Amino acid sequence: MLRKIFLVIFLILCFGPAAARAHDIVVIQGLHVKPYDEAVRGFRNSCDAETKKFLLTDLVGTDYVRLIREERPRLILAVGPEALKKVRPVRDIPIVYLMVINPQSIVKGHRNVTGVAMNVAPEKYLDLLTRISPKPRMVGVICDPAKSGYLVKRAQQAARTRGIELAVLEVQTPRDVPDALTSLKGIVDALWMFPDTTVVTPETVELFLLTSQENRFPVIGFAGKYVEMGALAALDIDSFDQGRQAGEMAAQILNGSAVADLPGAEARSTTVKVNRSVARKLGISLENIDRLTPAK
Amino acid sequence: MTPMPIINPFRSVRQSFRTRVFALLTLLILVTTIAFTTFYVLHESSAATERLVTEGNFLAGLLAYNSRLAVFAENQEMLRETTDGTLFHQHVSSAGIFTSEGKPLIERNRQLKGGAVRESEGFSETLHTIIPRLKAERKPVYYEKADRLEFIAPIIISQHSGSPESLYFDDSTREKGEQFVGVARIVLDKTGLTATLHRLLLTSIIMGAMVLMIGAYLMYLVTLGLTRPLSNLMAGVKALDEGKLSARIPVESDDELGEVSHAFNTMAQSLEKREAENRCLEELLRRAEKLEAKEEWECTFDTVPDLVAVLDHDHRIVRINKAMADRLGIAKEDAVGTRVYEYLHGTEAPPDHAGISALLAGGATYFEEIYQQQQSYFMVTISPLVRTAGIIGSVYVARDITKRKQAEELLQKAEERFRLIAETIVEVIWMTDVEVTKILYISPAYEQVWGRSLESLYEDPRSFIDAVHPDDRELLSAALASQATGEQYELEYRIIRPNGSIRYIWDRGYPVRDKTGQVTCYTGVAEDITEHKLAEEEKRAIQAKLVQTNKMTSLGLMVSGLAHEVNNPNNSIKLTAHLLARSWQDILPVLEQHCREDGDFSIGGQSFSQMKEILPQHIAGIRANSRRIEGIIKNLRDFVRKGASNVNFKAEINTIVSIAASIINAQIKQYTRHFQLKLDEGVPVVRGNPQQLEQVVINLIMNALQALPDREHTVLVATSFDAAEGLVVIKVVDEGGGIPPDVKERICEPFFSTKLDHGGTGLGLAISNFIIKEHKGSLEFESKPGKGTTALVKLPVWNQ
Repeated sequence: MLRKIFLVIFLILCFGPAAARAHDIVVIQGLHVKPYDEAVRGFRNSCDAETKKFLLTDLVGTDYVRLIREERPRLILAVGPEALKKVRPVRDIPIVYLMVINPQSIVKGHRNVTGVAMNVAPEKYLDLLTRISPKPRMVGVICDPAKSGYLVKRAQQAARTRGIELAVLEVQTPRDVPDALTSLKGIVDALWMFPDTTVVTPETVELFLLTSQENRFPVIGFAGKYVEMGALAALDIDSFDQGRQAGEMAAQILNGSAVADLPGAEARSTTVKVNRSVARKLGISLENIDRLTPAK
Repeated sequence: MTPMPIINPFRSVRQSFRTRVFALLTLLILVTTIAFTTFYVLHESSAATERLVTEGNFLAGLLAYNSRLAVFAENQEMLRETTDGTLFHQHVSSAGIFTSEGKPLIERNRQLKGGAVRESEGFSETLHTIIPRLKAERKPVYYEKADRLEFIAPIIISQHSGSPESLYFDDSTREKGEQFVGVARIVLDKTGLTATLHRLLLTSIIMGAMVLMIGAYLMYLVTLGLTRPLSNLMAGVKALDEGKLSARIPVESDDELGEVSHAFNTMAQSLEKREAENRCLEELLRRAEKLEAKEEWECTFDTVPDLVAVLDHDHRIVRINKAMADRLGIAKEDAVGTRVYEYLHGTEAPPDHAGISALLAGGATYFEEIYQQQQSYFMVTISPLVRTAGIIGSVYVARDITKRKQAEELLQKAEERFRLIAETIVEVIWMTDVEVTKILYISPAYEQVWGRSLESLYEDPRSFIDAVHPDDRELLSAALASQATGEQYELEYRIIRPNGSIRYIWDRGYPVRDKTGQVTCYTGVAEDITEHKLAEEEKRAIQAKLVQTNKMTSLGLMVSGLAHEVNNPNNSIKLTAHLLARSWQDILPVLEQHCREDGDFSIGGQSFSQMKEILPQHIAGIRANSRRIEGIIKNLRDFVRKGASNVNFKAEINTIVSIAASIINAQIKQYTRHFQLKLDEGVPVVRGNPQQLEQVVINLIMNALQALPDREHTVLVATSFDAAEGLVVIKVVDEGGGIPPDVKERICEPFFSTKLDHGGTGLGLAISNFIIKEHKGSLEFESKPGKGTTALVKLPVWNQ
């Protein structure tokens, strides 16, 4: 209770003078991590509107909705799934989200919500796979249907059109992963990791990469850091650009566009990251990929 | 047999300063070496152990980290590969992976490759106890056992609990979940370590021993150098002690020890010089003493106040001293060659020279007391004069003892006078030691007073106590006890002479003290005061009688007045009561008639019917009491009047008793049915007043009757004659309650009565006693409470 009183006093002292004039945009950021900061920077880069940022970690225990109402913004920017969940109850102010993988699982049916999902379209990964030489025909995927099932399903559909088959093994716990991996040995030509917290743990990642090493097939990760750890390639999202993308949407809304006219988008730009050392050891040519994007 | 001295070989070593210094320094080196070696060995062994522990911790941590995936996947192949990798390490004897419950997932042994589970028995229990610590500290722990070291490291895997977004980047702000899935165990063999430590210990001991030996040798050299000057000094002092004053010691250096050596040499030189001087002085002194001794002897010889002469073998004078020369009035030189007796002994004939010579030859001294013609006494001693060659003559000494002689004579005369006094006077003069264990002197009067011989007392000094009356012995013992405290005392006691007669003694004792105030003995006088005592008692009896007589005279005067004053009103009362009785008899019929006619009425607050019963009784009471007053007055008159009675009549006792019994016959019958008279026929007449004696007998019989409890008890009156004493006896015996002792003492006192409530006046026995005393007889009572009383009247017979 004392803590709350202090916080309110603190907020009044900090924002009291500004409270007189309403900000255009209130930014609620879930975590204080570099990609989120980058994304907010990108947002501000493309949207000139007045912004005021709150970090969720500073507002523990606060009534977020009331806070937002007192700020009377014209738009809310929610950075990260945690922030989106907090502002979800606000239905009369347009909400733009950022750095959220599966926004539908949080705000399905909310008409005042739009934004840029962190998902990279599976098709883009399939494009990447097809550029690997030799081209993998059977690609192993391990997923927890409850977490990444919707993405895998979409990937499966897209894969068929590209002549790639996905061998999908479903697991319920991380402990199932080693067995799943063992059973994929000799069947698949490559492994495709999906952002799934059941499947991807520090230990399983290691196992993924060890399996790759032992069976000489590449692993395609979903973020740059896995490439550094030993995956062959990944499509890394550009947080700054995603921020810009969302900023543009916000600018449109502030300029009078209806939220309903701006459906949720996916990251428009991705960077291909490759591990040349791994490629060399696995005897894989990256020529086609290099042609796609200049080597970094 | 003197005991052999026990030679202790270590004693000389202990007493040697050099050895002590050497031993001390060597000990110091030994202690230092041991300390350093111990410190080195301990430090090295702890460092080696620490290295092994660090290695073990590292290996266990590494194994735990490397096996995370294998444990996570529970992949035996991976587990074996990871574990076997550890066994390549030199000291590792065993490596294993266990689940968090202590179940072995794999255990590999250097000797027993193939996964024998040998050392992990009981490990699950051990693990159970340390899991909390492993979880908390997240680092390996280790156990040391006899032959090995065990390291246990926790295997921890992390878990994602966040959103899938976090998989894209490292989220340092979010707490990662961690799971404790098992432990890695490494066993390091301590055999190698032990061997290393043994080698280290051996090397250190060898090194230490070498250092000690070298150090000891060096210390020996140092000690030798330090103590040489001291040894020299010691040798010098010893030589000096043995008297070699010429001894000197070499001065080897200029330091403190050198200075000491130099000082010693100087001292020895001084001593040598002084010794020579002393010898010279002693020689001079000896010579001077010889001359002085001669002079001194002559001076002493002349100073002696006794008359001294040195005689030769033939008793001729060789030399006389000044005292003798002066006394004899001759020059010293003139006396030489003469004989002493010619001047001193005043005898014509010479003494027995041959006898004296024989005595002196035996080494004895001759004594003789001589009386000179000039009224002087001398004590002469002649002693043999002995030199180394034998007896060369004699020394004649004559001491003037005239004054002592005169004093002795005076003393003898004084003693004679004292003896005369002591033996003449009738008082017993005595002198004893303090404890009365010895009689120092007792005057002959003792034999007269005690009736015992002086010899018996000298033999047994305490025998005089035996004669003392038993009742007074305690008194005497107390007095004798006070002698021990040095107190003066005087006391009176009785003694019983051998013939049974009792004498009163007045004894006084005085302490005799010496100059220091100490009591040395006791002296005193014991006087026979029997005559004086008896006279005093008689005087006291006469005085008592005078008092009694005086008392009676006063009583008589009072009674005659009282009798007159009381008798007149009493007569009036008696007559009035008589009149009243007669009047009542006359009034009564009138009053009865009145009562019958007019009913009962009140007289004096009571009804007539009651009063006619009570009033005659009251009138009878007045008459009875009036008669009683009359009787008392009569008795009093008789008592007072008796002084004037004449007792010079012939009285026949049997007649008197018979008359008395007949007078009170009515009372006798009232009190008893068993009254007896036993009158002895041969009773002679006595001198007396028959009426008075009758009164006495009546009194006694009445008393006896009144003592009886009922009429069934007896009263006996008997008369008899005691020819031996010349007394006639009247005996009145009753079977009453007897007389208590306290009452018996006062029974004859006037106005003393136990029957005052029943009409007694307390005068009956007082009068009787007085009458009997007037008749020069005696009235005695023998009584025991409960057994009755006997009254005895003894009267002397008629004697012309």
